[in-house]
Amino acid sequence: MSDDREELLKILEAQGQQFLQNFSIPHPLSKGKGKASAPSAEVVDTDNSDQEWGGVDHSSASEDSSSEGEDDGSDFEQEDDDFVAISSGTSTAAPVVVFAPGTQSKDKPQVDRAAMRAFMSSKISKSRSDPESLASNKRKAGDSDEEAERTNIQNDATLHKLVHTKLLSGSLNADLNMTGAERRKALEGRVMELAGSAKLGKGEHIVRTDEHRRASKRVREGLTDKKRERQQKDLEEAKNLGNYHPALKKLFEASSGGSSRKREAGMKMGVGKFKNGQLNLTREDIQKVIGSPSPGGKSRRGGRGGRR
Amino acid sequence: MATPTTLVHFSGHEHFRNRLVLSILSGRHVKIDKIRTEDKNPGLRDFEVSFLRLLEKVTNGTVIEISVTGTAILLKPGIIAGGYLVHDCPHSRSIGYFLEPVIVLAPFAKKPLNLTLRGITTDEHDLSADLLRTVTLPHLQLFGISDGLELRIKKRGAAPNGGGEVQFLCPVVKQVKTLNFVDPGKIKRIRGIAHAVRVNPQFSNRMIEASRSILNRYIPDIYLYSDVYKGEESGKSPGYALTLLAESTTTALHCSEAISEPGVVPEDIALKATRALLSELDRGGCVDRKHQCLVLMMMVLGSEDVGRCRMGEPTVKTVQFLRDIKEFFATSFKIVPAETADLECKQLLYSCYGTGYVNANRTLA
Repeated sequence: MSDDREELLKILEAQGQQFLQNFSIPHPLSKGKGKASAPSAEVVDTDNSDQEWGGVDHSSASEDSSSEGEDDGSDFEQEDDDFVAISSGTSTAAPVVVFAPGTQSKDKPQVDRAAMRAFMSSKISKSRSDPESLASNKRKAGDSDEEAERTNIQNDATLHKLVHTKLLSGSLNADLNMTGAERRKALEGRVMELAGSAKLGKGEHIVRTDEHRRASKRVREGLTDKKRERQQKDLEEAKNLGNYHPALKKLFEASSGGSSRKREAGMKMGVGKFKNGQLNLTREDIQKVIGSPSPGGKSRRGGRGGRR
Repeated sequence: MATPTTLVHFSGHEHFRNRLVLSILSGRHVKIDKIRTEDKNPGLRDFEVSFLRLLEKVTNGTVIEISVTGTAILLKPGIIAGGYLVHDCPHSRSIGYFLEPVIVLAPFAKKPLNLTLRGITTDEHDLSADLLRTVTLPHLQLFGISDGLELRIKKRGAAPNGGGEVQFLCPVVKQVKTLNFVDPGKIKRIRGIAHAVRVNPQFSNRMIEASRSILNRYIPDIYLYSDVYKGEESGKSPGYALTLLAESTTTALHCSEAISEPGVVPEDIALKATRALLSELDRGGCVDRKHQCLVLMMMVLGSEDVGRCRMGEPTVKTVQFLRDIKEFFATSFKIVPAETADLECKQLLYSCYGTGYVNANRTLA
């Protein structure tokens, strides 16, 4: 243990001597410095034995960086100039404060862009807001998203999305015992949903209705008859069970044909839409009338099956 | 207490702006004579005449009569109009000279003020544009004026050629709030702006390094920003400056500033600013010396209630300002030592009974 102390003492003194060689200070200082180094070495030793962090000053003989606020008033002016000349005034056991120019962290602290922009902004209300309050506002917004403080409608939407966005699992799930045809239609429906051309949950329905449309007349008629029969049976079941109410009529009757939804009343113009007393012409309408000078006129005429 | 309606008479060119502002706010006619009578160039200076022109623009119905020799003026104030204004300031004083009194008038205008000032933005005599934006205008927030308050520095201009432009926007309020600011708190952060125009941009970095070398030991939260303006927006003359401000836990602000001088290195300018900030902090209080007049003025114009503020010792300007307030508004301040137990503490508690000034000019849209 005393060897370590000797070692540390020697290192400390060597460093002090080396540092002093920068200045032309008269000789009697070595005595005073000896006194100064002994107590500080003791301090080092006790700190090591306490195993407590006694401050940056008292770490072992490496170069000290920033200080504690233990300066004497008399040393203030010298410390401003970034070095300390150990005069005889500090021969008492005052901790020596060293400001070495190289040890201060040269890399700038991460400039908080938001804080800088808030401070330099011309709006006074922004330049006074704390960076903490700015950060806490952001955090608050994030927290509220994570918390489950949502309305029922939002929960329903999430549920709907979750049920339908288990990618392709409707067809891949083995529990359902799907036949090959069913699996194919489910997969195609999911692909349509993912591509965005179908709304969530409607993909498979669109595939099946397309197939119905492509079927022959007899098949089509048979399918619609069966559908009507099933709906009537459902309606009767609901009435028997007590689930029916005249307000729910729309739910139980067949949905009207999509094609006959909205027929435009009145006579049409040759081009464009007439709305609100205005005739709205799109660019295509104008080009249809004027006839744009675009290339490939011959190929356009040659195209077949434009509108059946 | 009803304010009397007679003419107020002053002599001398000192405290010129404060007296004119008090006249406009109180509505009393003011006569200032014996302006620089003994001087080689007697009478009003060009910046004072320019300031009178600015007051004419800001107000409506003000009559200003200047004597033949320029050594006496009579001001009959009108109402504070506000609106969109542009003013070119002469190169003898910076825009801070002109903007500081307008800041006191603007919240009581008829319409929100939108004032563009052109001239020198940074000067050693007056508050620079940075100080106005970061320290002076936040003091208005203490009184309830904050929404829509802006100071945009469009261009910077150093002395002597100027070329700077700032735009000041101020909302209109009905009445200012009563101030009760007695706790200075402890300093929690220090901010600074170092800018350099038409010189090596490294100067601002050098100033920041030098200033940090002193300030780093006190608190960790120190950010000094380097404001860079280039080309057309950097004015016509070279110069650089460092502005420092310290904010406390109770939002008290202290500031200091140092402008470049010929033959002095940037590090010395930075040290000058830093030491000025530290001595300002040593004085303590909730308001620093440069803004004592503004805060005291707003306290007088507050609602009819006791307003209190803790500040350091008043400067010469503040003392004369308190006398002028007594003259115009017949209100006096009660000033007691802030801490009677501690004899070392030089801070004082200023309290006054507000006059209940209501902005009757504003358009009720």
